[in-house]
Amino acid sequence: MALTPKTAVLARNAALDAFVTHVGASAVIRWYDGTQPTDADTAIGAQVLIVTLACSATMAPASSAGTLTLNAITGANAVATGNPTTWGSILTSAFTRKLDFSIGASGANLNLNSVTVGSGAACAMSAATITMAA
Amino acid sequence: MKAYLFRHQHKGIDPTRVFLQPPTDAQMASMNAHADSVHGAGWGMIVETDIVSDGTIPVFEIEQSGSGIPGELSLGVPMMTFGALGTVTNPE
Repeated sequence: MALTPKTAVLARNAALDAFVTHVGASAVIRWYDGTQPTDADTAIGAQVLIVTLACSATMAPASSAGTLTLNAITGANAVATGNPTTWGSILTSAFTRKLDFSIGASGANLNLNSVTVGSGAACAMSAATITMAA
Repeated sequence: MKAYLFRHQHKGIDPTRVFLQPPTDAQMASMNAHADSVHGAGWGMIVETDIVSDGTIPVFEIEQSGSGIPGELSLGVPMMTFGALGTVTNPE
């Protein structure tokens, strides 16, 4: 039999808001190269940090309709170059990874106009949302 | 007969919050707000289950499959998705 759990929108909102609380103030988003780890609790190995972007002090306002829309993210210049950036993560202010995601030119969680990041390249994120499935 | 139980992230299933019909959004919000205030902010959800003939509620016999832990509700779908757009401006 198919698995068909469905959560109420208020429950989804509560889960998303709890995630914001869990990540805490002044979260950051980092982009890396290499292979995305199995999950956000798996330590990084040889992957290289490309850039660190600062979220707003409060990462996001209260969620609505099961979607969390992040507040402004401050752009930054790349600190490393070489391989294409392939995955990223939302981290606490103490740099503990909480939500890993894919990066690509299309069809990824974070879609960039170019995954090739040159030395000193300006990196930015114009929009970001987290959605809970109904 | 079905029963609907309120489960909070930190409280777990609350035996005092059992319904014979799915609770309304207003009831859900009220229960979640109360559980948040007592147990700390967290998500809330409704668990649907069957009442067997002797009136007990087999909460931990929710049908599930795959590699989920018995007794846990296996969602079967990704719960959280992330979507974003960004730009890289390389030096000339």
